[in-house]
Amino acid sequence: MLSLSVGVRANLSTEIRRFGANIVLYPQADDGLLDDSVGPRVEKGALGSRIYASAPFLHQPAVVSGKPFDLVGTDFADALKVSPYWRVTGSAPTKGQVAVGADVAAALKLEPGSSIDVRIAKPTSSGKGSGACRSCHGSLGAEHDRRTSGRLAQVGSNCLSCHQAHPIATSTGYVATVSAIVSTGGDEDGWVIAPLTDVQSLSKSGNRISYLRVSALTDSEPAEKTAARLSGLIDGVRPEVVGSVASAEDNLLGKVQLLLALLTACVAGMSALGLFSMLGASVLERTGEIGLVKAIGASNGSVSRQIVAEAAVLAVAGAALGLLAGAGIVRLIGNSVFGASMSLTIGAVPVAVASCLLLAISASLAAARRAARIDPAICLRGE
Amino acid sequence: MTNIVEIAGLEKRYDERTYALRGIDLRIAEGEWLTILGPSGSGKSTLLNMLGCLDRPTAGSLQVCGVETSGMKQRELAVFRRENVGLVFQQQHVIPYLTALENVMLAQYYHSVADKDAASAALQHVGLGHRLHHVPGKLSGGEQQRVCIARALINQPKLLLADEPTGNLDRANACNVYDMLSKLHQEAGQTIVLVTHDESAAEYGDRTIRIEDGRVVESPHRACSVAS
Ligand SMILES: Nc1ncnc2c1ncn2[C@@H]1O[C@H](COP(=O)(O)OP(=O)(O)OP(=O)(O)O)[C@@H](O)[C@H]1O
Ligand SMILES: [Mg+2]
Repeated sequence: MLSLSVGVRANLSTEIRRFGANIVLYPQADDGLLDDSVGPRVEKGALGSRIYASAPFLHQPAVVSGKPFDLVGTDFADALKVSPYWRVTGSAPTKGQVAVGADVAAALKLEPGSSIDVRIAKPTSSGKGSGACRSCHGSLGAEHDRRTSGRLAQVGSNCLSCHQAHPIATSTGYVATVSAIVSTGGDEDGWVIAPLTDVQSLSKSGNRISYLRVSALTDSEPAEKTAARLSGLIDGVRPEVVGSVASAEDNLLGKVQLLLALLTACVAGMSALGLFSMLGASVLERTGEIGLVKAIGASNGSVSRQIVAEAAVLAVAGAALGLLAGAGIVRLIGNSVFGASMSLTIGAVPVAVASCLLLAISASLAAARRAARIDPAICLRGE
Repeated sequence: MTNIVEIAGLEKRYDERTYALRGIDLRIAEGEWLTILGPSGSGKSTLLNMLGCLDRPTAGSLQVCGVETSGMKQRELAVFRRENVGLVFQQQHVIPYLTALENVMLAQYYHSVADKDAASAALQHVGLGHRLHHVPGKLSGGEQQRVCIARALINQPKLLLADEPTGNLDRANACNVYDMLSKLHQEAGQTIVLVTHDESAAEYGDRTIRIEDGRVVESPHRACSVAS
């Protein structure tokens, strides 16, 4: 039971990774880009075992079949790992293919197999931002800022300077086939998702990425701590914890663990009650015997010692059996509930044995007090 | 001759109305065999409980082996009982899962240390040398009672108290037990207090008293009279 409540946190933590990334690594410089080697360094580095998955993302404001959307390059398989909640109809995009978000698909009436025209929005002369308004030639900076576009793909709704609807100057482009439609209920619905290398070569970004989404396990330390350690480990990155996911996660884990701990306490309480009544009954049953040994000279102390010793032997045997059964049950639960192998937590063993002994001894002390009240004179009276 | 028991004005009442003993005066000399007769409910067992330090009187004085025990605490009584008194009960009170030898050794264990040789000698003495390793279930009632006698005597008590030791036994077994006690009484000068319904058992003893309704009503044989 105890082992279960410890192990459940590790298993649930993996399970919870379905909610998505809890850390995002941004470049330290506000307008910079990251090298795409950051991903492997995170996953294979010193913290590798704490990382469940990571996925690179490169954002490029783009015009798709005449309308402005975010073109996002990523490794589709990794992206699905850090965002398991993405619902994908169709197959992962390969070179020359794209997956489109649900909003994009709706706006352009796309379905898997459709063809679209993808063009990168032209950088402005100021260099800030990544697109220019065709009406006022002003920068589309804020809305197209790398940071916001990472989360809100509000590409080119209105020009920030003149509040005119785009059009946006575009440069090179290509015709891509829609391989899948991605529906997330979030920002990604407005994305056009292409393989990372496609976007990198189209935008001439070399091997750069905008940010890395990381899904870290939080069973042994909160995401904040992992994030802090990541920043020390890899130069030039600025980790940000995705607040809502990380804290909700920790909250949930804490609650589940508390629940299991309470359950454990309940079970322990019930077994204590059982033990109390069992030992009490055994004293009652042996009233004659106890009266007899008292009549032939046993002191209350020696009778009590014997009862406590018997209970202790019982408790040790019970704890051993319990551990064996517990190991089996934990494995069974691990398999059936989490589909993962789960084993007895070693740390739980001494705690379980000690509490077992403690319970048995306190229960037997109560029984011993009862035995002390037995009148040796009952032997002289008949039964 | 010294008195091993001196009782004066001994009373025991369980509550306002139920008196078990209403003022007993009694002396028992060392080496004497006293038989206590009386109808059921007269207070015989209660008196024996007092003598055996299993219970405390509500009034009166009670000296056993020259020690006033009426004011003793439970714990002191247990120690005193262990050192000075051997008890034999109506039921053959033995621990059913221990052998005859182990039952005797149990009394040694609670008294001081278990001594296997002494325990088997004691069983030999009561004629059970050949049944040391039998559990009580395989012994007859009389044999079980003799195990109890061996156990009662193993720590050399000054006073042997027996409450209807033959109450559960047939004639032959009862005679066997009385012969056993007679032998101990004559050979070792063991002081014995025997409580019984059985008038004929009184013949084995030196002196008989009768108790009715918590009082001593007569003491027919004053042969072995008391000197103080
Ligand atoms: N624990 C007790 N509480 C209340 N009354 C008791 C208790 N023990 C004995 N008595 C009463 O004290 C009286 C004497 O009891 P006791 O057992 O001494 O009789 P007895 O002479 O040994 O009888 P018997 O020959 O049947 O064994 C009886 O009336 C009995 O009901
Ligand atoms: Mg009686």
